[in-house]
Amino acid sequence: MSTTPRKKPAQKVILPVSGFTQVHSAGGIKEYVLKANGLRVLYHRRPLTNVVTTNLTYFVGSRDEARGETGMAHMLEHMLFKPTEADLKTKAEVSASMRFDQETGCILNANTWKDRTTYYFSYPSSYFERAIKIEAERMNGVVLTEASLVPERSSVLSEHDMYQGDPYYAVYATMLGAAFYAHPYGHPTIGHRADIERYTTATLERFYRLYYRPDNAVLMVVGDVDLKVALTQIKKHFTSITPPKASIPRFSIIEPKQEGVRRVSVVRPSSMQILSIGSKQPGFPSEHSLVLNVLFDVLTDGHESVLYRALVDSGLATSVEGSIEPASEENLAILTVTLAEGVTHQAVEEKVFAALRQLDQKTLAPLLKKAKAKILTDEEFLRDSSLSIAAELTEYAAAGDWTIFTKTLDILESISVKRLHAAIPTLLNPNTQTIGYFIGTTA
Amino acid sequence: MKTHLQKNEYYSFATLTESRLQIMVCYFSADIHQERSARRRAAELVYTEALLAGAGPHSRAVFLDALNTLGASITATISDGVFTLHLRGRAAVAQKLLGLVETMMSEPLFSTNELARIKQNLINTIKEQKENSAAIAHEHLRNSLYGAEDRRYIYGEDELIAAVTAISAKDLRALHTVVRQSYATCSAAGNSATLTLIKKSISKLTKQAKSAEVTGFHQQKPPNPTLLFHSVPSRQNIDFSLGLPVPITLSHPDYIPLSFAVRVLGGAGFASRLMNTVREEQGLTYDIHSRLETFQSDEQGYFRIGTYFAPDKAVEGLISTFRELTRLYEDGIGADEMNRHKVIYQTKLALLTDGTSRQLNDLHSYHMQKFTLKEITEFKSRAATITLEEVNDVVKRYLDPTWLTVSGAGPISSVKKSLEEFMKTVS
Repeated sequence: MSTTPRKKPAQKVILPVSGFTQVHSAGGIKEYVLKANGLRVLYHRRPLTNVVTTNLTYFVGSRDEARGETGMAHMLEHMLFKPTEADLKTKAEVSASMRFDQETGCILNANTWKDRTTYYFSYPSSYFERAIKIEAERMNGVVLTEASLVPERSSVLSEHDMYQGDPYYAVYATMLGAAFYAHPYGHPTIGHRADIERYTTATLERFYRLYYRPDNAVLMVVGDVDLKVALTQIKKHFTSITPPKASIPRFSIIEPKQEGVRRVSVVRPSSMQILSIGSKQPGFPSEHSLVLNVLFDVLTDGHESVLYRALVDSGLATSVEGSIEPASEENLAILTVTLAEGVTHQAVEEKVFAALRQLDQKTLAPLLKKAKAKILTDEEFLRDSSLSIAAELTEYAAAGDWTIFTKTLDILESISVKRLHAAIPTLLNPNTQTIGYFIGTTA
Repeated sequence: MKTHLQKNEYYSFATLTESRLQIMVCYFSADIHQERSARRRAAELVYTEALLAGAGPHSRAVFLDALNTLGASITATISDGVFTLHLRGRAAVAQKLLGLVETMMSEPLFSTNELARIKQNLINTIKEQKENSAAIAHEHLRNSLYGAEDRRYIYGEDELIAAVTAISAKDLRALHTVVRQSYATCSAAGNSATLTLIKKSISKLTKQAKSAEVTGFHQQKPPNPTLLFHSVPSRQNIDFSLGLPVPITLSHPDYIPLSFAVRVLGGAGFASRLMNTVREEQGLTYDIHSRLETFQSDEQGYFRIGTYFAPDKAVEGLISTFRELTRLYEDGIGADEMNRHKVIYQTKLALLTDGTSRQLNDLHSYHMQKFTLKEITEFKSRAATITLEEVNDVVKRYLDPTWLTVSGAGPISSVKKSLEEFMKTVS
């Protein structure tokens, strides 16, 4: 993934604060670059709400982890809420980020994904500078100690076990490993338990220094804050952070060609039986990924969807779901079916493929129209809060081009039934498929 | 957004109006708690599905086609004896969406074929819930705190499946009559044209409403500290719900100071004691929180701590959780902590303005408790004026740790004995 601005500078724009270059503007969102260090800023004003969401996304995720160090990006995300150098100078026992939450009640959280790690706050506008200062301090001032790592590791292991105890997750994680032998998308973002148990502060520190730098991040400001105020504070707190001279390390791994369906199973005492059918699909936000999103909507979303009617209405299954993760490179898109009691995985697998093969353009046409109407409604709701706007914008920015966020509805509108139908064979190709069975046993 | 509330003998209607709003959201709720039995609960589950399975001249397929063409959604639920329709769509389709709702509520078909399909799907879904350890722990706790006729009581899988099997169209028609005759509490957000349309629909739908009275039983039990287990071997963590009954209603003067104390303990994320100690300092869990649940203006709710621990950390986790509750019970909260949490509460209120759905959810939750707009404002303002003495006094009165029932679900076999030993030390 490139970390430099992707767009050519637009017409010269006079900015209210010096030190920035405006590199793009689309759909009410403006992109700036802080000249001093390459930090990118996305600004979107939502007046009269008195609420701001700031979201700092680093272009580092589980895809940047080596074998034996899986889950490190996520572990580091947790550690960024520990006291920083700036906190220690003031002898604060609790980090400024946690104090922000504990003293004001702002919304604070973070999440890690394959290509990114994101930190965000949502708060009344008057706290804007405080939020910006915190993000700047932890961009290069994190302090990693055994004392803070030990309990946090334990909490992350609890999180890991929560996921792993979920039959859906267990089969999903196993499928990733089978689908990607070489590519780091083959391990789950939270990492393997044995790896989590073995991190040291030194290995975390190395990872932090490599990727936490202003030229590997985008800061989003969405909400009720004036542009001049926003840029002034960003300049004040971030300008002094100098990126390392070394380039940002990236794995460039091409997954070996797949030959034939890959099958995995997870067997454990359980009353559940689950079938998951994965197929490798191009990364987000390509045109194909948006088409596939619509196709999955048609297949699995709601009582009128193709697989709901074929499987749930017929009593073969309890539920059907589709999942397409917003990852920048080729990744698994997964159809998941929870089987009704007494129904076999094989029977439902055959039913799914038969239903897909039977789909023709005539059947798809009305479903496409309705899927578009539904997605349009969802987008209207999604863009009704700064928190959700920033969350969605994050996926586009992390995958390489935030401007597609502003074009989604036009792209959606342009999808034809012919194009939708043409995407179906990508789900049926055995050379991209990984199929997982969760087999519950009574023993 | 402008807030407005009007009431008449058939319905109460609260609105959030914003002229530029291109979306609409509406809640149509009715408290239909008249009886609690496995059969009634089964009827409720089937009914909410059957409403969307054909109405008037529309078969299920035609109805779903009409709804999905609008890109809108209608969700029907009955939870704890409260029926709710949730409508969501673009303002541009409001008229058509409301037309569908009117047909659905006036002429539901409840056809035999659809009934058979719904019952089969429901039975499958109920069976699937066998492994939801967090829900199971919570359900067992609730059932230990309330009698079987209370709206909070939850029926077991086998009992419910047998009852679903026996449900007929006659049961659904009877329940539908109850819904139509109940007083409606509606809240909606949209532009003024949309809200006018919604009001017209509500007027049509509530013409049969007869009474605002709820006749069902309310059966809260006294505290009875117990250890409840349920084995779910497929999980890796043990989910816990720890709770006790609180014998006051939402309108009781103690409610606000008590809810404040519970937020300090575990209701405000990392600002709360439980997250700070059990998670941050000790790393025993990823999540732990405390809440006051199911309180109504005239019914008593309960206090609950929800969390999970790995089996080998379960006893340590419970010790830590009990320690924090005991510390709160014995020492109360301090002035600084109180002031800090007052600020936090104000921020939470301010953040409601970021999003229409969030604001409407908040409004509807108060509206459901029969609050007027003035009472909502007063209720929220009260948190700013409560005193330390009030808070610490109610903690002593209602949150005695020795009254706690502990309900766990997950891979419990290896730690059952040590948990039993631990509970002996608590009592």
